Amino acid sequence: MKKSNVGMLFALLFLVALGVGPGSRTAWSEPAKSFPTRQLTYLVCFDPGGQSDREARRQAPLLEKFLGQNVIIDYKIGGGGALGWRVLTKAKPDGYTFAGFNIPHVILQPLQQDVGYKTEEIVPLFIFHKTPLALAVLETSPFKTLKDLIDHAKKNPYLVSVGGSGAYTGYHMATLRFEKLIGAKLTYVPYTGAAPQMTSFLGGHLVAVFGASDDLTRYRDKVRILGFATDKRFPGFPDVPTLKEQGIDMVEGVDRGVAVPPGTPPDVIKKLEAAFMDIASKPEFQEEQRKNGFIPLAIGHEEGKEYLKRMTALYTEIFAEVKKR
Amino acid sequence: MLFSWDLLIQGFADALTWSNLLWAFVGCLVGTLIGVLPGIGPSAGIAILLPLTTMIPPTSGIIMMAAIYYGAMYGGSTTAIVVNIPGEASSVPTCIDGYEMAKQGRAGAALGISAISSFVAGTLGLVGLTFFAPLLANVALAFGPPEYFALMFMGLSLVISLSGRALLKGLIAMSLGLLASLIGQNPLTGAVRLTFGWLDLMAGVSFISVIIGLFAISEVMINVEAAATLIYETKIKGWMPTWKEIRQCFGAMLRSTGIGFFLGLLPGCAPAVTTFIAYDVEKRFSKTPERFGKGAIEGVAAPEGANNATTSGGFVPLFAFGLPTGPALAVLLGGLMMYGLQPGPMLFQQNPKFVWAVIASMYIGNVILLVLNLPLVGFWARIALIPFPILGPIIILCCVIGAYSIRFLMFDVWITLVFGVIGYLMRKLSFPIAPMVLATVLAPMLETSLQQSLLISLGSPFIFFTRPIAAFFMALAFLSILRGIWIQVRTHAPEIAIDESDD
Amino acid sequence: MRSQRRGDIVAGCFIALLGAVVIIAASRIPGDPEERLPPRTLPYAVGFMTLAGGAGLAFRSWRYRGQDLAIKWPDRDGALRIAVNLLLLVLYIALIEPLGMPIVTALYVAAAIWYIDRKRIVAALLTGAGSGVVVYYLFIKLLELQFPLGLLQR
Repeated sequence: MKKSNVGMLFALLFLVALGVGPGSRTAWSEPAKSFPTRQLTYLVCFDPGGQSDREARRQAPLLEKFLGQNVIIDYKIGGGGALGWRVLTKAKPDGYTFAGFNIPHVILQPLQQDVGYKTEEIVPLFIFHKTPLALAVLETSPFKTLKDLIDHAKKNPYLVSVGGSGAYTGYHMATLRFEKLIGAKLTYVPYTGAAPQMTSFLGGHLVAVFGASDDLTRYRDKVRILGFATDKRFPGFPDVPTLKEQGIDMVEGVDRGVAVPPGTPPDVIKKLEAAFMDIASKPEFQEEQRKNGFIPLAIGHEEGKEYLKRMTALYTEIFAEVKKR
Repeated sequence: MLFSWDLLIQGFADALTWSNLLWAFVGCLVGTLIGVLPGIGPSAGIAILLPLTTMIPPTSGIIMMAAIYYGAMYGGSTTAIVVNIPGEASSVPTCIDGYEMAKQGRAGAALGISAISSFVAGTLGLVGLTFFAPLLANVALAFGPPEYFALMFMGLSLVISLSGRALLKGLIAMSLGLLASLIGQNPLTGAVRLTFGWLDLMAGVSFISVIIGLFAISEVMINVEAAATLIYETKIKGWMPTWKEIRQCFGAMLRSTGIGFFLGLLPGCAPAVTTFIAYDVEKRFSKTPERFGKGAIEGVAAPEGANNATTSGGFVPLFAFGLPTGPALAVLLGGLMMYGLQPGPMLFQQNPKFVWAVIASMYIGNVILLVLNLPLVGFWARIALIPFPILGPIIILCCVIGAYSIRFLMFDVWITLVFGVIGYLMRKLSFPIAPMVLATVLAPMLETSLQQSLLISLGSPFIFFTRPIAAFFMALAFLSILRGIWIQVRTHAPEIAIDESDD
Repeated sequence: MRSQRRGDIVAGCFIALLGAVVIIAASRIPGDPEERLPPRTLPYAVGFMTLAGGAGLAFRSWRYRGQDLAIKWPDRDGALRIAVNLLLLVLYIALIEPLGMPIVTALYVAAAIWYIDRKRIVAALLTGAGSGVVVYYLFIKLLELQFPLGLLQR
């Protein structure tokens, strides 16, 4: 009851705001003291409402509280994120502009073709979650175990269709690595995003998918997960074995984080990193991440740089192998 | 997802509490505004309000967000009719006859019928959602890549009826539209093509740029050239549609509800495709198809009805499976998840009170929107009285805002200007514009689904003919193409490539 | 160009040329012909459609001997008005980033109204100023759309 009263008040305020218009919110007036002294821009490189956008919108108010400045969300959409990352690397490196970024997207895109930015120009500020991929079939599928599927694939080359989101993405790489490790030919079917991928999968138009853990969590009563491409078992599905346990040594997933342009001053990075660290260390945040099917992380700037470097080396190697095929 | 009267009545009781009612009203109001304003669509609108979810209870929050979504469909037709700016692809067919009506001094009637048709179709669509959701839910899943390709292919065959008598020019316009959307990255593989080494073109040409340029900017140029003082005939003939016109549109409303609702169940294609198909069907059903394109009131009722029925249809897969059919519903899904509500069959079992309150609120929301929009008709229609020298630059301003906020790139504004000039030339040389827009809208899905289908079928095109739903759409498409060719051959019209309108 | 027939011949040739350019561009698309739908296929198909459509139009119009219609091209005044308005629009778009959306909007709207109708100087200035204010408060402040602010940045 009390909550709805607060809601009512807000509704009225909202109506008033619509009628009268704002004018009270001025973000840039104080003299420059220490970073940040004016509003910050959080670039989102994917459509409004996508996972990256939702994370940004969840973080923005908390960042505002920590940094004491407005944080606005700006979209630069196109090219599977490439366009926004190109904008980021060309932005003024003063810490006022930072962008959400995904691994392995920022590694694979420049490997595929000239996209206007280089992986080295993406400076990780913070990595806040991981969504591992897993191989899944429908609950109604005749393939009860990973072995069933592999045996079938070996006998029927190309007939096992595996859906994923996009080409030259983690999903694609996962399928190609899987193919190589089991020594059978599959057919990788890309989709324009995770939502159409899952729709087509649930409709029975695909034999299997490499799905992201959050999507598989959402449809957990409709899918049978044959194995997670993780080092350890995924906490959300403790009964599902990893692919590694079943003799297929591969780890694949998408990491989401925030990056700044190259040349951003270290003290500015420190301040922003501290803000994200503060959010990531909140138990509510971690709880929510787990509930939605992610693994919450808190990888800071230095560690993130190392991690990106390591992943770049790894994917460059995988990519070279794929190209050779 | 079981229906029971008790639950529905309980839902109405919940939706009618005055806090929920207020939120529904706020949502309708914001939705209408978002629909009218260029530069901000329902998905961005809902996304901006997502942080509110931390402050208001879940039922109210979702009621409001849903209201923004369907409210925007009411508002979206306004600019299409009054100033020929379709804010989204779904309003393009509304422009064709709506703007003609406005030019004839009948903007009020067009706006009125669009509100009424939206209400009727939206409410009937809700009835479908309420009673048949469990049966219909699987329709969304039955469509795989081959079915989508066949549907898009059928969509493209509409070019024949959209080009009037200038079939060859219609086909050229279609090719140009396909060409525009091929520029940039392949939507699936990301491979860059036809950019001539220009990095900015990598992002591709957004169909919204094409729409705004072809319709609105070229229209302003035509008026500038003629030194028009008013873009409409000065005489305004009635602020509202007459009863006779409403009755005349009744069939259109019912047919467009059916089309909009069923196609609305499918992720991805709605509502850009549904409104075109509804418009085309209406033209074929009409005893006087020649009136279409010259201000036929059914030509406004059909697409407006279809896009609202589509909105209702979209909630079926959203609630039943957690499948969003479009970006706005994806944001709404995000809102549900922020509240910790997991859509899917479990939602109906675990939170029936919530689901039915939201569904009931949508009935109420449609009434609110009708009450809100009909009195506004006079207000919007009075824009016709603003002299062109003042209105023209303001229309251009709306175009620039709309073009910039597609992806917040200046590049898109320049592209829009280029299409404005192309549109001007096309009008002067009497090329039909609608086929080009249709092609731009359909092309990405056409390409995507073709590529996926051929992967699944291991390269065999017979997949489009061996699956029943796909085969049905392919047959319709071929019939429509053959019929078009037959009419062309039979009439021997030498002016085929010359003109589409007689005036 | 004055008549519909001539116009169609010229337009047809131009469109056919465009189709040819697309076909050449498509032939340079790198790609794996092993793919189920090679990346060149659709650009080729559309290029050929464009080429065929343009050539067909030019040919048909050339063969056409019926009554010819005139195209209503603008007269000198009309052409000048369009040229000046396009120039204004190009300036408007070009200056959005350096000057900022609200300021340049105000300038453009005022200038465009004044150019079309010299008598409405007051209306032009008021509408221009009003547009700038609406852009700033409604779109930038309230709706938080990220338009370039230019001079208003600080």
